[in-house]
Amino acid sequence: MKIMISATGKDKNSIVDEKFGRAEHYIIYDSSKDAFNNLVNTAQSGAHGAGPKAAQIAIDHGVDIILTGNLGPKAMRVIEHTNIKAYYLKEKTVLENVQSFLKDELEEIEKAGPSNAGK
Amino acid sequence: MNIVFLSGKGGTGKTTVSTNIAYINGFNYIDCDVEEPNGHIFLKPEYKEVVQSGILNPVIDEEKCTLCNACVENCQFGTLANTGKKILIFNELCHGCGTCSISCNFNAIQEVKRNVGKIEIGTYEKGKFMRGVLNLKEPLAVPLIKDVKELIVAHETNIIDAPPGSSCTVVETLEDGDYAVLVTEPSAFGLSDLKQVVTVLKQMAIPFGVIINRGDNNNSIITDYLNKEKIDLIGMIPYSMKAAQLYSKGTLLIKDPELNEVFVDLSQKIMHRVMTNGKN
Repeated sequence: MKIMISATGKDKNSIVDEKFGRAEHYIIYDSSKDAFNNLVNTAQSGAHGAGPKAAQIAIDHGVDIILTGNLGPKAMRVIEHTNIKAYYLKEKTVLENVQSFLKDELEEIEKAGPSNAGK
Repeated sequence: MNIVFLSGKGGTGKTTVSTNIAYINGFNYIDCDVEEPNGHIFLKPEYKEVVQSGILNPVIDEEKCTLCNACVENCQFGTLANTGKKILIFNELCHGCGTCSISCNFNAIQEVKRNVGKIEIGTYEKGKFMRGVLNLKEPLAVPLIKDVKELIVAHETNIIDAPPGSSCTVVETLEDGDYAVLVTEPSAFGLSDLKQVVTVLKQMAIPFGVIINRGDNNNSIITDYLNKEKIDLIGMIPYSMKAAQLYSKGTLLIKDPELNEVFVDLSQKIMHRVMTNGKN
């Protein structure tokens, strides 16, 4: 299972980023290898469309779970067409949120939040 | 000949100045502030024709699409997403550039025109009137402004009312501009946004001058900057309660004798500069 977390820094102890499309980094945790990998978000600075681009990154990396603060309507529409599930962040760091998710303590994102929330 | 009125900051008086200058000279008035056109309030035109404006958006033939991802990779605007089962399209992000259909090797993408607004064409008391009106919730104004600009008659004198800001919509409005009038106000916000449009105009090599609207004791905020950068100050419209009252009723300021004098003087100064410095 692969878990993608929006983050402000590049390792597992980084503080998470509530923004999805405009997060600076995405950390992908691969449970089969127990490894954390960092991706720099290249779509962060575009005028529009950061959300669906970030959703595309999740799809392209074979992510199963997204942990973030808010999914806008466009990112949500992409996610809904896949088997990816998204959950709200609750803890401070990437690692803590992954641990909470694995203990089934995070709430699933079922409805899109406001658009352009990360701008 | 196109004289463009812009400001950077919104609410400095682009429309106030441009409508009065158009009226004094009987020039055509073109409202390119398509998200919030309001020149009609002062010039009270009669519309005779409406032209629809649109942008080309991709439509995917799912029978032909192989989900190869070429369109998604080549789109610069995040318009397309590949879920692995289907290509999703976000029309509101599309700039209509056509890269997706060019990059498709399976002829699966057709471009279909989507309406984004309309252009109303008519006359006001003294000349031609034209304005673009963007549809509600439509984020992309550039295609509509482009269509408005195509209907402009180049050999006539056109007063073009630009949108606020200094982004793509303003750049599009400025294309083919022969002279630009920057309307600003003596405030820190006015100055900050003025600096940004000055950068745009310098890059586009369009000659320009500045008018300070609602001038008061703080004018030096603007004039210090203009002096330092050797930018031409065309003139100043003093702060006046009378102007605010007329404006709030949708009346041209030149209906007031004192303000009329201010605008006739400004108009002469603008036209002198257009003739000596203008591109055309």
